[in-house]
Amino acid sequence: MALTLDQLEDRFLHSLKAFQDAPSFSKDDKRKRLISQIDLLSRNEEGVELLYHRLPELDESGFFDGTVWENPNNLVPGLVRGTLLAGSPTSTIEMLNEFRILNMSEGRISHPAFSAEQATGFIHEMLVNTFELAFEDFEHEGWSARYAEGELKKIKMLFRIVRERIDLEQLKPHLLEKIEVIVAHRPVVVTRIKRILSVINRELTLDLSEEQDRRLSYFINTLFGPTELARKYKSSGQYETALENLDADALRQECQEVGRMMVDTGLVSEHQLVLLHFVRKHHTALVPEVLALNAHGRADYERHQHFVDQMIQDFIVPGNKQAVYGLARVLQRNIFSQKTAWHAMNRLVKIEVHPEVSRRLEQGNLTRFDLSPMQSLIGGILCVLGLPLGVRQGNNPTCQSARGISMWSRYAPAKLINMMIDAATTNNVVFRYEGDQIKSQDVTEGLTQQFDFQLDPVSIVLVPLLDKVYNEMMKRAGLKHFGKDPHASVNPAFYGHWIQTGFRSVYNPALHAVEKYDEFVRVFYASFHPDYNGGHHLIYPVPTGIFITDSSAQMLGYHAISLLRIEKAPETGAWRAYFFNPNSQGKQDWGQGIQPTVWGNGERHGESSLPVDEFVSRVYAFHFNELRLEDKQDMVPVGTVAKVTRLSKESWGRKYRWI
Amino acid sequence: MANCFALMGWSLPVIESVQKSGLPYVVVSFPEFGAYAKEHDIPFVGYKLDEFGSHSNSLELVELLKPFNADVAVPLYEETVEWAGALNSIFRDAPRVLNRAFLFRNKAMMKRKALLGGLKVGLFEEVYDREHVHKFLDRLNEAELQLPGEDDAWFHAKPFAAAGTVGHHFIRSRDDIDRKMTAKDFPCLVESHLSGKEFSCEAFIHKGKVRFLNITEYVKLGYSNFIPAGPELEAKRELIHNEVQKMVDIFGIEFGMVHPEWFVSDDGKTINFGEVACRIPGGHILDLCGQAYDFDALLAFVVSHDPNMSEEELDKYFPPKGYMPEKKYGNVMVFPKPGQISRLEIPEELLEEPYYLDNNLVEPLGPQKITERSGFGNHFGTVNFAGEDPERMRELLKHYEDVPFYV
Repeated sequence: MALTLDQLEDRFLHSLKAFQDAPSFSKDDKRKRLISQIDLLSRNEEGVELLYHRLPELDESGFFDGTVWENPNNLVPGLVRGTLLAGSPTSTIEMLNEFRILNMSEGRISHPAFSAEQATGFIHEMLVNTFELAFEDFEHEGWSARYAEGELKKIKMLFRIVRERIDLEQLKPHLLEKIEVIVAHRPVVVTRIKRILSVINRELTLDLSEEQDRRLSYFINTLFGPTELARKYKSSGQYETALENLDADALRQECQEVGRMMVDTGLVSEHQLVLLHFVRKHHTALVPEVLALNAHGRADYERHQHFVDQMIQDFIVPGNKQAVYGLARVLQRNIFSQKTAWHAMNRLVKIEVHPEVSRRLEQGNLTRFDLSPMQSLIGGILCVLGLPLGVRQGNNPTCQSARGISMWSRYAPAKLINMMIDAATTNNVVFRYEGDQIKSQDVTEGLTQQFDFQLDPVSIVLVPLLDKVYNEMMKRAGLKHFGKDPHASVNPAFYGHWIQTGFRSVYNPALHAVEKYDEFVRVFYASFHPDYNGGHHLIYPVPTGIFITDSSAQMLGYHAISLLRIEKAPETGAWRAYFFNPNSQGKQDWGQGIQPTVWGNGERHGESSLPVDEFVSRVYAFHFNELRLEDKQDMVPVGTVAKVTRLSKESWGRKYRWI
Repeated sequence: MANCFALMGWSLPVIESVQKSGLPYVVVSFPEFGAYAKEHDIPFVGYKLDEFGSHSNSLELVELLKPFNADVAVPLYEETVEWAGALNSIFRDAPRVLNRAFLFRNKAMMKRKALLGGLKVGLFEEVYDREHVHKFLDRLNEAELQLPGEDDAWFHAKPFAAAGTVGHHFIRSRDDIDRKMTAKDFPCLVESHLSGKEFSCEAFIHKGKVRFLNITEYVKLGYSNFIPAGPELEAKRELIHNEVQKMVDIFGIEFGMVHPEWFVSDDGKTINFGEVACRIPGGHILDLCGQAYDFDALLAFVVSHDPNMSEEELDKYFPPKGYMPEKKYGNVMVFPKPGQISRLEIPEELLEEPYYLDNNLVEPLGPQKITERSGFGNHFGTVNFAGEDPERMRELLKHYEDVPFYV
């Protein structure tokens, strides 16, 4: 017989008392025991409701003191999703924290440094960041396979309470901004935005007299019904029949409209897929319209029409319909007209996929549609080749691998396809490192312990292998070049000949200190900034190591990005560094007012950008061309160096000794 | 009443209990704990308890304790038993108190004393190398009237002074001697195997009398136990009480708490003495004991060391005499299964279990690899249960020993 709510409440109060009475050194243990009782209460709706109402007492008891939740000003709405899915006790404290903030927003708890408005703001932003989770029913079997049933139930009950107490209409502007940011990024994986849009479609009422609602409606239509005809004939079968009855002009118009919406948003609807298959069969001349190709793309299509039509027919299905956009971008980039890429691609479509790779690809299929490993793989490579800056690392510590895939896709498509052939057929890749061979198969450990499959198929095939190779290279470099930054020798071996031979790092491992920072900054400007390097654009991207700092400029760790270009922002004319960040999910705040943007400052799809000084203040290592330096570093103004140095010393630099 | 208790060693639960009681105390432990003690306002004397010599000895420590006016020393763990003995012999001007402390720290001496006093113990010897052990087995086999081809007699080898089962070898054959015992095991004690079901009890002694006796039932040694023990053991309470009192008399123990281990013979009529310690037992036994009998067992442990406390004063710290609780309190220590783990996952069935009380399991700091356990250290926390039916309790404790809490 299970315990009654009254018994559970008694036990909760008893544990709360024990927690309150505990001396400082035993608070942790008593908190764990208290959480045990809270976990029992969070198993049914009355229990959760009770917790919500008991929150002022719990807060008063110092429950959050000494935890990362202590100061509400330090809470990051974007992290809530991760902690809620981290399992108890983390998820339990996170749930209670949401209740606490909700109580603050309702004035039932007052906090000297966090107003009710701030609390409401936090809840809004949190809801926007966890939007799909907040409305998730967890019916998909993927959920129950990965998370305990009780945990999912807890999350559901938390959001029920939050939703009941928040006016969802107020979220619209935040949601729109979120969507615009993701869309500006053009990620390869669009699962997230699709979920957000379908929840908005289901849960919110849009008022088309409002500009923001019209924007939201446009995105929703792109995905769920791009044209009037599509909205009228929702199912694929009906839509196809309707297409058969259109006259030539109407059909051309339908194709153009659908194609334009895809170009605007990077999103592909099921209707577009039906339309593409329909015109491929009956009106091939309209294929470029559906793909919204310009003259370059159209030429490439015509040149390789047979092959492209075959690919559409065999490999692009509802389970990977985003490949339509990938294909369009590949044609625009004229990749099939590069001889090496062309032959590589022709070989890739004929491979036999290794069973282990098939298993991974199947695990990575998060859609409700069937998708064969080959369809997944070809759709995936089209997307990655089409959107080199749309590659992301997911929840994996594999920024280097993601950066590599992006770089190869952009500068050496054939190399990437060739590597895919190896990896997909043998589940193995071989790299050279300083004369030795490293086979991923022989390496037992990478950086990733538990692989997150919310990734594109190319990453699913390659990253587990690349991660091992990279890790092994770093290990060998640590032994072979003891006392030196391992990246200096690993980067060229891992990424290829694009990596310049010069290398600078802020840190001297032998002295355990930041050394010659002035010179570091000067060399950076002299190599990459057109004002100092003779007015030149970068030839190759620069793999750059950066310090990641949080909103209070505290150092969090290291991260790998690529500097793509330094150019003047179109509107302000100020110099900005444009870079690829495999971990950019939207708005970021690196402290000291440093906030990378992804749109509005001349960024191309997938780029992030910052004013150059701010960017340099986070860099810890880069490669450059020594032959072209020619003492240009002496021209960099003292004021610029001083500004960067100040930003560094007052952020990550606090953790280091400077000499 | 003591002026001030010197708590020898480091145990936050004990410090918490004493602090809450308002009794004056000071903690004596390694200097490394000093900063933590200061941060949490714990009266503290840092001392190198692992060193002994002209710069580190009880006479000097007594001086350091004078500002605190300490007059009773309480050992919190095995390694501080001699220190507490030395201090108490000075405080009470009774040199033999120190000798008695040595009894607890030298298993051979302990056995001899027990033998002299008439407790049943196994055949035992102190051994210095493997050759000795072989000869011991010769004599043991001979005494057991072994015929050619029969199995060797079983025996145990254990270090003279180590807590619990650390360094313990169970030798079942002559081959085992060479296979299991290495040079670093010597010298040690070997003792013939006593058959029977093992159990432990905690006897709180004041002025040489057992004031309170707790009997713990082990479901699996080192994993799970519950209190009070099931009806089978509790039926022998009187027998056990008498044996414990006998042991206390033989050893001349006057104050504190002893934690002897016994073996009930197969016919259930006699109990054999295994060994005895006078520190806080492992397995959170005193937590369970306190919850079951509704008193602060850790505080009772501390005050039992006070020679100046009157019978009436002492009564305040103990459950009423003869009180027997209805409910059993039990726990399982959770050890992650060997292999890769990344997070804590409390099983649904546990959360639905009415006997489930709470847990203090820790979250792993990211994914990690778990290897086979050694000794009984490093558990990831305990899961606590409470309920009336001892059968159900045994069943649950056995069951949750095998349930993976970490995935």
